[in-house]
Amino acid sequence: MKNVLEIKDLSLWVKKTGIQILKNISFGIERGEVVGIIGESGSGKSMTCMAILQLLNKRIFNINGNVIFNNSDLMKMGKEKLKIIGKDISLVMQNPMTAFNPTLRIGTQITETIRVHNKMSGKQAYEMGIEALEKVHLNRTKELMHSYPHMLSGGMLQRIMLAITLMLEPKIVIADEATTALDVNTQAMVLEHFCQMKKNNISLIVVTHDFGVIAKLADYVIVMKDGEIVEQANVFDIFDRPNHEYTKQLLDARILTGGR
Amino acid sequence: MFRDIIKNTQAMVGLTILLIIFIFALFAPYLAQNDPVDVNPVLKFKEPSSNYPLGTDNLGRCVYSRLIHGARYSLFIAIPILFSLAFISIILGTITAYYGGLFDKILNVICNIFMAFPPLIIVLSLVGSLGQGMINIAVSVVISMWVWFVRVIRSYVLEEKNKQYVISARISGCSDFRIILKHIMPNTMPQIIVYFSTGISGIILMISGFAFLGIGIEKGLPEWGAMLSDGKSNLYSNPQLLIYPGVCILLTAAGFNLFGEALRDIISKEEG
Amino acid sequence: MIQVNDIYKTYKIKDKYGNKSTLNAVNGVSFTLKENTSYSLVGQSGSGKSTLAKLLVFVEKSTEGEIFIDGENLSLLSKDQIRKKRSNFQMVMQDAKSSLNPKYTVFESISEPLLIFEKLSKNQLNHRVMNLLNMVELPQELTERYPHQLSGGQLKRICIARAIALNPKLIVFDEAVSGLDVTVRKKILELLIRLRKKLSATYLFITHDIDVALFLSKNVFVMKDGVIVEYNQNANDFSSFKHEYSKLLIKSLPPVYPSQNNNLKVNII
Repeated sequence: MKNVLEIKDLSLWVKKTGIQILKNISFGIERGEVVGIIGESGSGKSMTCMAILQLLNKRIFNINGNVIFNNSDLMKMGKEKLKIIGKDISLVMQNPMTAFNPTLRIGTQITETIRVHNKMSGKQAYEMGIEALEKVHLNRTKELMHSYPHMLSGGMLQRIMLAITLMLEPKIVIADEATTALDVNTQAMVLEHFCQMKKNNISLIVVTHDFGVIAKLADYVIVMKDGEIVEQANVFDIFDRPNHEYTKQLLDARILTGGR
Repeated sequence: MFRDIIKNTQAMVGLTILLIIFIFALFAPYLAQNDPVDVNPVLKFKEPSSNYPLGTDNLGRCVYSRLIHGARYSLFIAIPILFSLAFISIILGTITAYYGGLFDKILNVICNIFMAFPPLIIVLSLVGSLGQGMINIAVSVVISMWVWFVRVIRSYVLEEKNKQYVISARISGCSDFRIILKHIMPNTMPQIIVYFSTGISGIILMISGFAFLGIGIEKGLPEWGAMLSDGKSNLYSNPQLLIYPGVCILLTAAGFNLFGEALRDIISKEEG
Repeated sequence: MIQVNDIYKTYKIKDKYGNKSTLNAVNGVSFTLKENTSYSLVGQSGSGKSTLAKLLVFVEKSTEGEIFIDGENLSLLSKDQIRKKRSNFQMVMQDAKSSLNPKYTVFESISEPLLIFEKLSKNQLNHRVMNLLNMVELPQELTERYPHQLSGGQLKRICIARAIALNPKLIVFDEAVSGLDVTVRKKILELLIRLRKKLSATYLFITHDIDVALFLSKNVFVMKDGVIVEYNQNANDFSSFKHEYSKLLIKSLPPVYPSQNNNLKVNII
């Protein structure tokens, strides 16, 4: 199968200090495939996402390489064109609290997002929003639409975030530590939603430091350390036959008791 | 931090301006050639000359000498005001924020009452009842401004008090006094210094403003605001009489502001 | 021995319309912690586990109930009397970076409790701090560093050193390892186990991760909505948990090994 998104030789430097943050990152992702990027803090995994989404300030960073999506290179695109692509690639961040505007009701934020991308009346958008919330199995959707972000828990907000993401029917979803701040059972719920996305043929890039999330979701794993890919392989290969010392360390640290 | 200040151009520009003004204020009697209050009607509106470097005003007083002595008034009124404000507000703000409770609530009500009036009105009425004089104006400015400073410091301390290291200090057995003195104070001090160094320019402007209105400073004293006021009757014939003190006020205020804002940048960078 | 008798913590809260209501963060909890033993407490966020930790080290005062340490009822003491007893119970908080004063060097941070409770000469103090650094396996060169110059794992170790400085009877670890990288987490956990052998005290590990809880102790409390729902005194493995909620927590753990079936099962709880 052909890759939906392909990253070729992505490198990144801080202009002022000349420090290299990413070194020759290359990988591809197929339709409906889940690529898991695993690494510890400072490994450059979040920076990779930001670079793919063209969210980095070019005055601070020097970026090299290609990010090819639908046969076009995102790195060479103007802002207007990127906006159109923006609908196809979505980002789910770690802290859902900061992703929402605290002064607006959830409903307003959802309907606004819908109306930016589709031409429809407010009422239609509202109904579409409720439908989207129901899709991620949220209850009491009308109440949710009327509440402010601070009234809801982190897990709830993260699920609403997913609802909004799904509603836009993206081709690729990038989840940057999307479950790190959540409790174990809320995490389990959010992970199930990601599984559902995968079933709907949405490609996923899951960035995490937790091999549990990788085991649950990923088909293909990229292990990063200090801005470099140290190992990349199929999930089963990574778990069964890790090659690199660092991968072994990470895998080893993951299991504490294993339920004994 | 000192190294950062030296590296920062804005801070250095502000600091240089302030340093020059301070030197003028401190050594005014030696730097000024003539007595700033010496009236000599024969010599009014003289062009600049070697005796009168910036000429004379409508009463024949040396403008240059008056400006230099003016620096004394501006700074030597503003700085004691600042110190008393700092003293009151740091003590009250820290204690109310740290302990909270009834005292905090009462202080809050008092603050609200004071803040309902613009400082100008409070000063006007106080000077009206206390009478003219530099001490009186200083006292009235302190009374009109302290609530604003207490409020700000209270908010800084409140923010700091809820940080985890304060809790962990308490767990380690620190007394309230030690927590305030050794933990909260050192961490709020940079912000407080910044606030005061920008606040002082406000005070200088305020005093000059009052002097312009003829409040507080006795007639004839070489205060910049008063000089502005004196000069305004000769606005068309001798505009320089307004421009000189105006520029002085502007420079002093700008010096403090530049330095304060640069300090703020440096500190926020340190924290971030 | 630490004995907790039926403690409650009630917060008064106001909703958006100004209606007052109460929230029982800890809703009647009793247990006994033996000397020289470690315990774990598992619960989700909002279960009241952090509040319970704060009550145990008297950062907050319980609304009702008593806490005995070695037979002495500490709930009756005044704030100042409690302060003098603080060397007996210490806590390590979740976020190591924010629980250290940013203006203090490592040496100052670690020596602070010693300065307050013990009269030591400069040499003795130096010696004690170096000793503590050894205990938490930190190099001595770090003493003059500031928190922002240290890594997450190092900061955590400093917090631990501060807590053990006074040889307390009870040490509470609130989310001791959450927010750390996996490899660092493992190292800190191993350090805790080694420390336990060297330093006799009652250890209480509070965590949301049942795996961590099991790793650290055989005595596991499970807490939900301010109540302890299960006390497993012989927690050898996951199957020894009996309560429904404990089983749910275990079921929610992400898988250890990938499986094709797991990936496609859609099951919303």
